[in-house]
Amino acid sequence: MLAVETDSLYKSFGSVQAVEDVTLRVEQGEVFGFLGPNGAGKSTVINVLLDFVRRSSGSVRVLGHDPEAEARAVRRRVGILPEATGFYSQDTARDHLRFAVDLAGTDDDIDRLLERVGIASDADRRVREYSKGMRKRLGLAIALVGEPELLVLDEPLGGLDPAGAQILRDVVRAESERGTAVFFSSHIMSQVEAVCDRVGIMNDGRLIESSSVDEIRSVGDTELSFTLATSAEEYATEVDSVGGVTQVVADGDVLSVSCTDEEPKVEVISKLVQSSDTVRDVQARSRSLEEVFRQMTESER
Amino acid sequence: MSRVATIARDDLLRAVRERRLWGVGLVLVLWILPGIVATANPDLRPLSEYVLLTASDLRRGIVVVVAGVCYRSVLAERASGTVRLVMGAGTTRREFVLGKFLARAVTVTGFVLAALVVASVAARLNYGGWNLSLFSTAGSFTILYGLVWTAITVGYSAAFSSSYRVLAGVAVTYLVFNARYGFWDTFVRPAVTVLVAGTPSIPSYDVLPAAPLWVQLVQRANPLIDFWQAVRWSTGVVQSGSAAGSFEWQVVGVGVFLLFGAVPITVGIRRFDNGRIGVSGSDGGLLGPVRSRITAAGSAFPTPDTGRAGRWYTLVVYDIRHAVRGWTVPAVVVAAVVVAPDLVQTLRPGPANSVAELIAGLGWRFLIPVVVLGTAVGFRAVVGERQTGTVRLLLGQPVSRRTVLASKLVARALVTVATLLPLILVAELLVTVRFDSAHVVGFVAWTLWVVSVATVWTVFVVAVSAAVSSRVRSLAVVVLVSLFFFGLWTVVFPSPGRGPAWVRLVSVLNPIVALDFLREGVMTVAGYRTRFVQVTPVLFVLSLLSVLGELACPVAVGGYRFEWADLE
Repeated sequence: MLAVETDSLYKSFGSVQAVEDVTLRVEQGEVFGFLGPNGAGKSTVINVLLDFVRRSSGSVRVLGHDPEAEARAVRRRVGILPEATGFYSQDTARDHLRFAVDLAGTDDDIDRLLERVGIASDADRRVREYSKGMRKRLGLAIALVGEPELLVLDEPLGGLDPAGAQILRDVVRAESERGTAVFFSSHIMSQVEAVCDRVGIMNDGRLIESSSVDEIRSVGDTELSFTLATSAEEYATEVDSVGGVTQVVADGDVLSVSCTDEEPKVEVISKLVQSSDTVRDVQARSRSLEEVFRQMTESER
Repeated sequence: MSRVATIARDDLLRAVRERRLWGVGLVLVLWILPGIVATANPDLRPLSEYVLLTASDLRRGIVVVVAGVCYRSVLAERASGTVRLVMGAGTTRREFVLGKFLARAVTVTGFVLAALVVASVAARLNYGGWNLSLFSTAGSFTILYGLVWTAITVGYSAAFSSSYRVLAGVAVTYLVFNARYGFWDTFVRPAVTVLVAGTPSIPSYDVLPAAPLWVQLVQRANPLIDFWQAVRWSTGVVQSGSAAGSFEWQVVGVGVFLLFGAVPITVGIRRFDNGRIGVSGSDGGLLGPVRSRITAAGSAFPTPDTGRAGRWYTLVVYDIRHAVRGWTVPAVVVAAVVVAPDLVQTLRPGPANSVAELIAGLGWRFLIPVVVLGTAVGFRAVVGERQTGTVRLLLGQPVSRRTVLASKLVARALVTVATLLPLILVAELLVTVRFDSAHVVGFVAWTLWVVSVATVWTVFVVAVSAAVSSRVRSLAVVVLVSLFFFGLWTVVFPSPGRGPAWVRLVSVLNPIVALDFLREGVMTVAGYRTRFVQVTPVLFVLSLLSVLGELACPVAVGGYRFEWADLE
């Protein structure tokens, strides 16, 4: 059984098509990063998974249940940190957690949950006095009630300071080790890269990529940088003629070459080594997820 | 153009685009104008009386219009943060508030003028002639009345940190000073009389100018009495050249009335000047200490043991806690101000009403407080959670939307009923003391009716709050429905209880009238029959079906809309 499964999911708000033909799979125990620029449709997909928003068409299964028809069955097994959740400003963090524990019907240790997210010392302060980051931590603690089989975290890093972000990463790793699937949306690529097994990239309401982090990073151009003994200008034309080379930049003794994939990369290296003995150094720069993400979403526009 | 004028101009332009303003216009059309047109009847009253009656009727309507137009005038911009934009452009807070006052004053004056034009046309058609001198005199005072209430409401909007406190403040101010609700005559006048004369008995007098000076001064301290005295005196002078009372007293009275508006807006500016620019993290305002105690009491609510109690009970208990923290204090104050003086004044044995009739009518005296309380407690119940985002917190737990709504219906009805109980007990205490008997059967009967009405009304309001997507819409729907059944309906069927059979049958469709028939039926069974309403068993059953049917519809619609709402 998959943790999350959508098939041809569509959602429109009036004439605006917010989500279009999204087919997605998240395995149990997997940490799945859900990426996309603002307005890409990430939150709408998450809202459909949580039954906050009703889909226009398509099918959705969360832990084997349809969230529209079996909302309670889904929520009993899912921990949720929605992006725009509110809190009862007059209540304390402890009140909120007691409420969540009572509704879940579990015997979770409230103090332990508060300690886990680092707000135990503020447990009895009213939430109206909390900063945005503290509210986020409280939301995370509530999501952890009942040892969920799936954690859905919508933009959990917003408002978190570095210490908070570290706590979140620790929680995600610990839950993943326990076998919990984590569905995690964010704009902060470095954090996604650090904790996610796989990522899905949304753009303009469509899922344009869904692969492992390494696979995604290997998508698109890679860059080689040669340091030569002579002027790099002499070799620029020769390298540019190799199929699969998208860009060549000569700057003094440095020749920068962008290739679409592995094949031209090898050909460029062998060509330069064969044609001259002036190659002093070669560096292949691995691309960050953020660069790939930007390239993918911008090329879609 | 000065900054005040610029702010006012921009505010006016924005106001025209607001739905709320059109809602206020609808209130005017549904509630105020039908009454103005219906009373223009030369067979029942002369023109001078019609003009006074119109000015009198408009007083109540204007307060509602002003509240609708002004209650968020300053607060909305503080809450949204746009006030920082305006301040960033070099505007002072004083200029900001005055600009808001100017814009809202123009809007309110527009509404008042529209009502006056309708009244003038109705008079022209029914009485002949335009009678401009009489209308312009009464009309000028009516416009002044609107301006003063605008100053009060804008002042409250600048002073308070929540729009509900502003509305509660306007309601309490109106109820305290309006002689009709008896607070002034029941509490203020006797208190001053005890201080001055050593006895609570007020010396009798035929007309106010004949009363002792200190009595006149006490009455003149009430700005709404001053206003009405000035209207009567001025229209009397215009019509016949003379009127009871001196010109000097009218000048004093008008001065007091103007102060009535000047003080709140001045205090509002000062509080806004010295306080936070935003509205978050407020200290609870004037009622803060009381609210804190209630909050502490609310926290002491037993937390259910989930081993035995279900999620349903958990939701109800927590919702009662949240409702108690949010609304109970101002609602109880408003309800007490409405009910207490009325009970003290009317629950006296006398020739006009028998004891049985007084007890039979006791429940009816709770109708307005029930409507106020039920509305206050219920209108944010569901939609408030949607707007604050806490509904995501709720639905993130293993509960369905249906369970959330059902728990809200139960919790809010319980809060309304529990809040009314002390007032009900006060009424019973008065009955016991003044009528030398507890009239237990009657007490049980009218209490049962009040509790039923409170439950019905609160359930209706909560259902509305589940059906809409904003608190303002929730309040607007409840107010419009109330005005339709309380206002427009009574113009068409002024005495449903005493009309022919077909009128009574049609009237059953009005839940307010149906509830009155039910009250009469219950009280008759309890042995407290009155001569005002004729209820047959058929009418009783039809009334019951009408109320249940008209309750089931909003609950079904609210449930359906909430179930399918996108909770973005």
